[in-house]
Amino acid sequence: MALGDCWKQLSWFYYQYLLVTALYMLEPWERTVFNSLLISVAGMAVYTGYVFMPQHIMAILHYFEVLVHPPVRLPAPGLEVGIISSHQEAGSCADSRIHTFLTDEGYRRTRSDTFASASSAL
Amino acid sequence: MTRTGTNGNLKTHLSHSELKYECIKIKGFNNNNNSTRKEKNVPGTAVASRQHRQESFEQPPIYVAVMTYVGFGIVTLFGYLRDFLRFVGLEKRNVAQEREEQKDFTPLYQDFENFYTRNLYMRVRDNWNRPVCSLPGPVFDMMERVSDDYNWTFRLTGKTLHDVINVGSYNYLGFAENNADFLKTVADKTRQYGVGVCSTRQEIGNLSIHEELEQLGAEFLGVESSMIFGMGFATNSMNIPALVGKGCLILSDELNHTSLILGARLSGATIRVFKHNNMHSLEKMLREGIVSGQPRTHRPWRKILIMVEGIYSMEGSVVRLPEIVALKKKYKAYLYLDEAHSIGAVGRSGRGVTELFDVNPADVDVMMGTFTKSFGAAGGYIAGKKEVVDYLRSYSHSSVYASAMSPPVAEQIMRAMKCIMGKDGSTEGIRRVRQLAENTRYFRARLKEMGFIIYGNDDSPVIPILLYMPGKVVAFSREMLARKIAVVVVGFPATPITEARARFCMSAAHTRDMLDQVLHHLNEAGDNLCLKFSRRKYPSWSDIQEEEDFELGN
Repeated sequence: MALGDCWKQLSWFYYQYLLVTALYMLEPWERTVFNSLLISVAGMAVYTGYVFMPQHIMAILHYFEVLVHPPVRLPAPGLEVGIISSHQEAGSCADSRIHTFLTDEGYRRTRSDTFASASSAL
Repeated sequence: MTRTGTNGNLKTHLSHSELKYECIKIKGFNNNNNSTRKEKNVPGTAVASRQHRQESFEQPPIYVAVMTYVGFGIVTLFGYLRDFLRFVGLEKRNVAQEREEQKDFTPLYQDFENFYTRNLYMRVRDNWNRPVCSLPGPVFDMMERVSDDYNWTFRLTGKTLHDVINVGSYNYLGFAENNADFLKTVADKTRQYGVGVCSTRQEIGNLSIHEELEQLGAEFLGVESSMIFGMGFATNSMNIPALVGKGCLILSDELNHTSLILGARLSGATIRVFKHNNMHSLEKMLREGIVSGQPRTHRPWRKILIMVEGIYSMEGSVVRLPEIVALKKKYKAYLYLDEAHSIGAVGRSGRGVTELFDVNPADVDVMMGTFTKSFGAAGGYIAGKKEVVDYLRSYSHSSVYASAMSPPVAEQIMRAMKCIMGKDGSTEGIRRVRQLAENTRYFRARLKEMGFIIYGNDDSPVIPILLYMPGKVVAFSREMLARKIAVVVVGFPATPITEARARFCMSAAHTRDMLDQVLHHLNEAGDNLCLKFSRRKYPSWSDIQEEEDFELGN
C-alpha cells in the first residue's frame, strides 16, 4: 500500500516535471530523447563530482589554511593525477604550495622531500 | 487644477465644473459624492455602493518566468529538430507545399514564418476550435473529436458531450437563448422582412427596422443619434478611416483590439501608443503632440483622437474614463470609446462605462460598441452627436459597401435593449444586470481567495486567470474539458509570451450552483497542476458578505 502511494506521488512529480518543462506538449519519442539527454548529462556531472570533488575540497581547505598539512591520500586509486602549482622564492617556504600526487608506485612525497629536491635543483 | 498622485493617477479638484468630482483615491476610484447622483443605498445595488474599484496585476514568483522561458526554449529546440527532419526527408511534411513543377520558382510559402504555428500550435490545437453543437448558453453540448496523428487531422467520434458548462462565451446578460416566448418578436420580424437584406444601407437596404433600432440605441446610450453596422470588427476598421486621415494624430492604448489598430493604420494618420491605462504617459504624449505638431513641418495636427476601450478583454481592466475626459477637455482632443465588452455588462443599469463612472455621455465624442457580446446578436454601432453620425452615414465604408444588418438580428438587439431598459414591462433586464454583477463579484472573490493570480478590475465580468507556462495552459484546458467545463485559453500571439492565461467570461445565466461547480473543479485542477501562484492574502467570501450586509443595513 505504501508502495502504491509512493508510486502515485512519484508519478505526480513526473507530471509536474513534464508540465513545467513543456515536455507535456511533445510526442513520446521526443520526451524519451530529452529525458535521455538530461539523464546522461546529469549522470556525467554526478560521476565527475564523485571522482573529483573530494580532491578539490581538500585542496581548497589547504588553500584557505584550514588544513595545515597538504592533503596526502587521494581516494582515487590507479589514477595518474597531478595538480601542481608551485612557486617558491628563495628562502620563503611559506609561499610554496605544493600538492602531493600519487604516482604509479603509490608512494607519496612529503613537503620536506619536495623541498630537498627543489633546493638541490638550484 | 490637477495634481498628480504618487502612482500616476490624476487628482482632480474641479470645483465649478459640471463633473464635480471630489477626490480620486490612490488605488482606485471613488466616483460618488456627486450631487447629481440619484441613489445611495437602494437594496440590491450592492455594486453601486462599493467605494473602491481596484485593479491588480500581480507578478508571479521569479521561478515561474524562468521556467516559462525554459519551456518555450525546449519546445523551440525540438521545433528546429523536427524542421530538420522534415527538410532531410525523414519525416512527412504536413504543411502546404508547392507543386513539384514549381519548386524552382520564387517560393510561395515562407516556411520559417510559420515556425510557431507549425511547431507549437499544431501540437496542441485540440484545445481551440472545438465544435459546439448547441446554443452557446450557460451550458452547451460539444462534439467529441480525437486525433490519430498528433493534432494534424481530427475525426469526430460521433459522441456528444452534453451539458458542458460554458465559461468562455461572451454571453454576459444571457441573451443567447432559444426560449420560444422571448424570441417571438424575432420570429415575427423574420416573417415580415425575411432574413437577407440584399443591399447596402446607402442603396436600397435601409429598412424601417434599422431606423427603429438606431433611435432605440440612441435613447439607450443617452446620446443624440446612432448608426448600426452589420459587423462589429468592421465597425471599427471601416469607420476610423472616415473620421481621421493624414495629418491627424491618434493616441491609442497599448492593449487596444486589432480592429482599432487596423482602422487606425488604414486611416493613414500618425499613431502613437501610450502605456496601458497610464494617464501620465497619455498626458505626456498629448503635450508633446501639441507642442511639436506634425513630424517634419511642425504644423498643428488637424485632430487628435484618443482611442480607448471600455473593458480590455485580455486583461479585464477598465478604462479610467473620468481622467481621460478631464485630459481631453484640457488639451482639446477627441475621444473614441470602444465599449465592445462593457456595454450592457457594467453600470447600474447596463449602460456601460459612462454609467459606471457617472460621466456624461455627451463628453465622449464617438461611442462605439458591438452587439455581439451582451445582446446576443451580431453587429456594431457608432453613436454620438447628430452631425458626426450623419457624416458617417455618407462617408463610412461600411455603410456604402457592406451589406446592412439582417432583420432578425436587428430585432434580437431591439428586444434585448428593451429588456435591459425595462420597456417590455418586466424587470427581467435589470435582474440580469444585477445577477451579472453579483456573479462577477462572487467569482472574483472566490478565485482570489483560492490563490490564483487574477488580472483586472473588480467590476469587469472578464476574468483572466494567469497560467504562464505553455505546458500548463494545455493541460489545464484538457483537464477542465474532462471535468465538463469549457474554458478559453489564450497563449502567445494574443498575449505577451510569459503571460498565457485562461479567460473566464461571466454570464447572468450562470446560476450559483454552476459557479460553485466550476470553482470546485478549478480548485482541484489548480492543486493538480500547481497553478496557485498568488502570494497575497484575501479575505474569504463569507467575510466579504458579512461586511456587505453591514454596509447595506446601515
